[in-house]
Amino acid sequence: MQPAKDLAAIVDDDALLAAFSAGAPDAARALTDRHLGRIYALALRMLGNQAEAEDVAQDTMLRLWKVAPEWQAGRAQLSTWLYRVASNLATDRLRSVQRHRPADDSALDSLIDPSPGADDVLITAERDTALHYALNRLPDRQKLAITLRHFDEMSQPDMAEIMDTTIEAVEGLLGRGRRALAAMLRPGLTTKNGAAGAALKARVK
Amino acid sequence: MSQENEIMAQLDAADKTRPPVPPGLVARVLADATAAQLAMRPAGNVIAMAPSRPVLGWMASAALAASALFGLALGYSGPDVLTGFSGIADLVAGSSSTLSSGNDELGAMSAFLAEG
Repeated sequence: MQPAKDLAAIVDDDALLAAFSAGAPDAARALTDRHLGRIYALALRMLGNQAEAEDVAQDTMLRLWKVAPEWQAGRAQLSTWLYRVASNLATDRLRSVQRHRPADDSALDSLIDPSPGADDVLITAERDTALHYALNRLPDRQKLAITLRHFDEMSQPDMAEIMDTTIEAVEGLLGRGRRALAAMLRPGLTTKNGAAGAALKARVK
Repeated sequence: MSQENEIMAQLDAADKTRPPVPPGLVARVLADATAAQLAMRPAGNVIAMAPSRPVLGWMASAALAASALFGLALGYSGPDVLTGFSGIADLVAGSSSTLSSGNDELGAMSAFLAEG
């Protein structure tokens, strides 16, 4: 069994996963440190709810632990696989939530730093607030595409793999998502004197 | 700049700070990992916990084998062979003197054993 410092130095996710399957307890810590943050951030941006994002992140990692013994090295990139599982779980949850209750906008506030500062900081914060509210109004697939592209800065081929679709379809989703955001965030909504989020919320309701 | 370009610029300028992972989530994920590892190889873990030292040392094993061979030889050749050993012969003779009739008792025991 390899010691923790050796495992942390392993760059290859496949090797770490093999070590985990062989019973190395520190491999789980190394994989968690490497991937949990990104998965949780994606789930939180998708769901806008901390408890649900935690559930999705935990469930995603649990699936990783279970699939570890059968994992075929080199067949898929682990990070891509994790993103795909997390985005599918988040999308399922979104659909379930939308069926049962309206979206909870207040949860999105946790994504935005509300600390007061100079005017430009305030404007930026308002703009981000408006952006997140608008993002939350997009259809699930468009929301996922925008999140992966602009917040996780993924390439379109990676996005296509995660979303189990073609690059052309990803481009279409991004285009429609951006146009929908532009329609919601029309000039005048994010003004220096106005509360952008509140204005947008009033507009979209 | 078109509206879509403006949105792209806005998206690119948006705060991309990753939210901190709650410590409770990390603990739950690692607990799941431990449980999954245990479920993967329960037999391996039991073996790993067992002591690595052998049950008998080599001297004990040799003594056990020697006494087994001696018992086998004794069984085939009969108890009289014991008189061939000087120390044991004295011991047997001494024991016999304390008994009423050693030979009779030995014969009685042989007869009893023969009856099954």
